[in-house]
Amino acid sequence: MIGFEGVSKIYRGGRVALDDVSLTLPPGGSLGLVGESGSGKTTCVRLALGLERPTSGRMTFGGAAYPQGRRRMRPLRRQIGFVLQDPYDSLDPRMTVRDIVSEPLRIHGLPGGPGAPGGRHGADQLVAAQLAAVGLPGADLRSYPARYSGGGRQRIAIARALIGAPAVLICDEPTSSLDVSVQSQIVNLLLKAGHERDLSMLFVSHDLDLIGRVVQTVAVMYRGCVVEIGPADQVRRSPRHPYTRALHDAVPADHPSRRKLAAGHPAGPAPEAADPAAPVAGIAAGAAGAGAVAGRQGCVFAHRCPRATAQCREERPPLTHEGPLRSYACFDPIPETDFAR
Amino acid sequence: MTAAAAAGSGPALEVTGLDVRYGPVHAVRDASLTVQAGQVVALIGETGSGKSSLALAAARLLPPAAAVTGRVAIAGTVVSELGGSEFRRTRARLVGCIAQDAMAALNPVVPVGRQVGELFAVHRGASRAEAAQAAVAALAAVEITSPAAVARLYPHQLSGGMRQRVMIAMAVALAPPLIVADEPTTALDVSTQAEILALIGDLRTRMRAGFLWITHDMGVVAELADWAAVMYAGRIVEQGPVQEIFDAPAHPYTEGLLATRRDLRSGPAGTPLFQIPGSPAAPGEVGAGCAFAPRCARASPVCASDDPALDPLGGGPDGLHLAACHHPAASPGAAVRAVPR
Repeated sequence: MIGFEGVSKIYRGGRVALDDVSLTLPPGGSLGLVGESGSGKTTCVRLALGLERPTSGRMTFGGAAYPQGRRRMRPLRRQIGFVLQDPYDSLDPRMTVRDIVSEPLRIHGLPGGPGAPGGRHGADQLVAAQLAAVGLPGADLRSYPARYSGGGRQRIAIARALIGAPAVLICDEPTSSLDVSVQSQIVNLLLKAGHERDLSMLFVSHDLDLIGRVVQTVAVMYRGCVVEIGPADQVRRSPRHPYTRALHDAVPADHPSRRKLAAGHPAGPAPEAADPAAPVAGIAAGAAGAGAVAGRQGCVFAHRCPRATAQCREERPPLTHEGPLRSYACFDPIPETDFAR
Repeated sequence: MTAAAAAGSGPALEVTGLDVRYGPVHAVRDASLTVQAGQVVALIGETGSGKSSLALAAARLLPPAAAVTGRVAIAGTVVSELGGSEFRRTRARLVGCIAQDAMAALNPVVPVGRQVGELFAVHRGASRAEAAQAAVAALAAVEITSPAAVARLYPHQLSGGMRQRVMIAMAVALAPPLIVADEPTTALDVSTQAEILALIGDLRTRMRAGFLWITHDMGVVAELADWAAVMYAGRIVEQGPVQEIFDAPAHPYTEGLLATRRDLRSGPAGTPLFQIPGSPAAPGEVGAGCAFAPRCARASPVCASDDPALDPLGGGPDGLHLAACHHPAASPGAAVRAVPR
């Protein structure tokens, strides 16, 4: 549905947000992007939403290139629903629930929107039905977001995302600001919607466990590059790229008898320890921000990698394919049998 | 006064029968909790559970509008009986605080070294030069590389992990017997969180302070805590040695939190996530019975009418495991199997 073809994004000042990224979100499929801050996940979302254009490379939707210009983007934007991280930020506090949820109808002049047959009454019915579908039956259409908890607000955001019957749903950290007991409810709601409506889902998170649990294909990103991609279960249970492995190792234990972090230092040097310039955010090329173009020869993970060799620091490892679905960018990947959780 | 000397005079923190009210809202109800010197006690709960109110009340950091009753003793000093000005003079020596948002907690226009040094100037009567020197030593103690250079930087010039280290340096600078930490790793990337947890693991053995660690992340609890207390709607509903809590959770809410995490970690990809039904109860909405009853699979009529007392479960090795439930789990995981998906 959405394709990134060798996409790079370099912001003014030379900050590289994406560096030659190729990804495919298949129709009806689900793709997860996982990585830490500065990895380029959110830039991918902004490109997919058409909010920004790549510096080089090509973005495609349904096989055709993204159109240029805001007006020509509109028909495409109608096909994309999105749910963002913070429901306290992404819903306008001065708009009623009715106006928030029906916004896509108004913007795109869809059936049910004002001016369309049925008029406002028709829109209200659609809005009410959509709210019921996300677990808010009988919600007062005249109420404001402030009345709702974080989970309730995220349900409203999901209703807004789905009301225009999009083909694609983009979720950027949809649960990271929610309480633990509400997170799974929201994820289940998204999974159910995706399944029932045969949506293509782009799911972004910093949580490898969550991503690996909910999507078919996972792409692991680091400093603007895709370092590993494959079926969720394989990437989660048997990572081949050392960065994916480091992400695993940094996840806290699931039981006090299996402590690994507080008992000593995590495997693999952390960016701030290994990169002498890293303490200063924005200036250095730590995990906090992607580096400058000129300094980007070699593997982007080499400065943190316990397996790095001279070759890694000089040459960019190409994506190596392993079977039709799996690939990784590493000269010396972790052997498949080497990983036990 | 050193931490060891202070800790010799009693537990790092002893809270007995604590109540916190904000007007009509009963935020903390009859909470009793002990943090021993050298121990990390995790205070687990969701938004509105009262965990922050309890911790802030322990450090006497609540605004005057909060009505606090009950007894709070820090290293033998009964701070709940001290006058306001008397306590303010001793607070910095008794309790250090690590906030979630270091950017908000640090002064943006003062170099971090001076902010750390101020503690020594105010409370130890250090001269300007001595304070600057002590600040650099304090930054080095939290494993900041090139501490002298970092001391000259402003908070915005530091990465999130570095800012958190500065906060920790300030909290432990005067070696107080009690450290209160309010979700200090929640906003960090997993690899940065791993470093901070490793640092805390180090500090606890080095300085013998007691830590009251607020979190909603059971992984952080597993990594760090010796003791865990679970709060729900203003009450401590279960507490005990962390191993016990993970092996044999008795309260259905604790079981649900653990099951949520376990399922995220090891459930089959693409299937719905385990979820606790309903949404968290706010302390203001609690009726006569158990606050968790509306979400509980084991709830019976008695749960709706009587709020269960926090009683010892027996059976445990030391009789220290307490739960407030009319139907505590007979065997580990019983309720988890009973709760429908």
